[in-house]
Amino acid sequence: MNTHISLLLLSALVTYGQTQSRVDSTSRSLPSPVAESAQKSSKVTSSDVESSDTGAQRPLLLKKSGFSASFGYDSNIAYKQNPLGAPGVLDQQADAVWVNKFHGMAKLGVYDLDSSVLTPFVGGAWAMTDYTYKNSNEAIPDLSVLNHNTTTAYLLFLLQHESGWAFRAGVMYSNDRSVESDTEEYKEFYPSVGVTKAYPLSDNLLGVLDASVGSHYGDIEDADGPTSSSHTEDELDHIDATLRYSIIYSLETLTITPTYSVSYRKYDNGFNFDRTDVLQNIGVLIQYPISDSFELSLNSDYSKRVSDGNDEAGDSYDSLYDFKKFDLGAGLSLTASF
Amino acid sequence: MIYIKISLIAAVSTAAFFLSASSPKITYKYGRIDAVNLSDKDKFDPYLIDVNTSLTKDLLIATGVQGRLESITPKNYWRLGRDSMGTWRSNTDFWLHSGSLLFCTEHAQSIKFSTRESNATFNGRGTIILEATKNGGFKFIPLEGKGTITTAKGGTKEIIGGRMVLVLGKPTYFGDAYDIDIMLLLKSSRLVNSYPTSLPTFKKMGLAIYIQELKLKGKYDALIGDATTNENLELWRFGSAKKSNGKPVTNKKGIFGRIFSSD
Repeated sequence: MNTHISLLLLSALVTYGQTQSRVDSTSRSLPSPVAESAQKSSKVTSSDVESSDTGAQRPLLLKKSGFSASFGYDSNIAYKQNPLGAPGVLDQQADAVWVNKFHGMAKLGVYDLDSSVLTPFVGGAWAMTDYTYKNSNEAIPDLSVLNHNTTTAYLLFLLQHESGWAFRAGVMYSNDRSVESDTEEYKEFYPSVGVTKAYPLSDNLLGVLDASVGSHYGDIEDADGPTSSSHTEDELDHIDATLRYSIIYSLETLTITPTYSVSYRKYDNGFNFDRTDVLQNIGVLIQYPISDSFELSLNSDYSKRVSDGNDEAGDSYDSLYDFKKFDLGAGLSLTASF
Repeated sequence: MIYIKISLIAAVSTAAFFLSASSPKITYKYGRIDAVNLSDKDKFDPYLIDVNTSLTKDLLIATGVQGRLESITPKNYWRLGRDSMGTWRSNTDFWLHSGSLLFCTEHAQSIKFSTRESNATFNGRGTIILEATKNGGFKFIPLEGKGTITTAKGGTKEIIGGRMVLVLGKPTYFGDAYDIDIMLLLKSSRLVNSYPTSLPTFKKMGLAIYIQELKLKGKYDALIGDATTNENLELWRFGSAKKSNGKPVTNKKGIFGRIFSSD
C-alpha cells in the first residue's frame, strides 16, 4: 500500500515537477553586461598615485578592434528548500542541486556613436542540472529523474548612452532536455528590451537599477500526455516586466551584492489563461576573485510567487502556483578572455 | 569734425568690444597669479592680477606654486595649472611656456596650441590637457572628444579619448602615442578636480572610460613622466611615482614605443 502511494506521489510530483521546474526555465533573462561592467569598474582603485595638475598617466594596452571573446566554466551547488517551486509550505522536497555550466560570449565590436556606444554581443551556454540528494525518508527519495541539460544562445545589442543609462535589446533561445529520456521538455524564444543605470552611492557602493520587458514564446511537452485537453504547448507563454535593484559593495577583495527584484507576469494561453503572477526575489551574492580568471562565490536568495486568476474550472491559480523558495549555494567560475 | 569724432569713437569702441570678446577673462583664481605686460618691451615688471582680468595677447600669465586660474567663456573652459606660464593670444590660440593647461569645449572649433618649440592646431571639440615638456614640445591628452590635430610635419591625426600624443620639434611632428588610463588620470588630476565648477563634458569622459574598458587588454605598471628630449621619455615604475626624488625609469623612445605604442 505504501509502495503504491509512493508511486502515485512520484508520478504526480514528476508530472508536476516537469511543469513546475519551468519556473526556472521561464525565468531566464538576457545577460546585462552593464551591471557586470559596473561591477568591474567599482573595483578600480586610484592606487597610491598622488594627484598632480595633469594627473597620473598610466599606459594601457587596448585592443585595436573592439572584438573580444570569453569562455568559461561555472559550477554551483546549492541547497534548495523547494527546488520545484511547489505550492504551500517552504520546505518541500529539499535537495542539493548541482549546476555545471560551460558558457561563451563574443563582443562583436565597439561602435562610438558620439553620444553613445553600441556593442553587439552573441553568446551561449550549455548547463547540466543534477538533483543530487537522496533521502529515503522523503515521499520521493530521489529527484534525479528531473535532471536536465539546458542549451541557451542569445544575440544582444547594448547601447550605452552618455547619460549613464544603458539600453539593451536582444533575443534568447533556450531549451531543456531530460537526461533520463533524452527528450526536449521545453524550449522558448525570449525577445526582450531593458534599461540599466549604474551610479555610485559612495566610494565603495554602487547602485544598479535595471528594468526589462520581454515576452516568452515557449513550447512545453504536454506533461499529461496527448489525452489531456486542458494543457497546451504554449501555456507557459507570457509577457514579463521586471524591476531589479542591486547594491554592489566592493571591499578589498570581496564584492557583496544584495539584490531585490519584482517581476510581473501575464499568461494568456491554455490552462494558464488569464493568469497573472507577481514574483519577488531577494538575494545576496558574495564574490571572491582568486585571480582575474578564477572566482569563488556564495549565493543565497529567497523567492515568493503570488498568482492571481482562475482556471477554466473556476479554481484559483494561487493554490497551484503560489510558492516560497529558499536557496543557499556556493560556486566557482573559471573564465578565459581573449 | 563732430562726424569724424563720432566715427573715431565708434571705431575704437567696436575694436575694443571685439578685442574684449576675443580675450577670455579670469573667472576663478586660487593662490598667486602674476602677469607681465609684454607690450612694454623696456621693462619686465610682474604684477598681481585678479578675477575679471582680461587675458589679452600682451599678458604673460604665471601661476604660483599653489596658484591656478580658470576662464569660462560662452564656448570654452580654460584652466591653467600651478607653476605654469603662458599667454592667451586669443580665445582660440594659447601659448604654453611651462606647466599644464586644460581646454574644454562642447562646440567644434579650431584652436591653436603652441609651446616654446612646437605648435599644433586642434579642430573639433573635446576636453584636452596640455602638458609642456622639457624638450620644448608638449603632451596632447584628449580625455574625450571628436576631431583632429594637425602639425606642420606630422600631418593630421584623429584624436581618440585617452590617447596621448607627444607633439615635438620645430617644424612640429608627432612623437609616439600612448593609450593612458583615463579613470586614473581623472581621479588624480587637479586640473579636473580642483575647481569649483565641474566640466560640462563629464558624461562624455565617462563614455570614453567605458570604451577603454571594453577594449582593455591590460595595464602597465608604469607611469609616463616628462619628455626630456625628443628621443627620451621618462617612465616611472608604478607605485614609486610619488617618490619624486627617486630616479625615473628612462627608456629610449623607440623601445617604449615598440612595447606600448598604439600606433
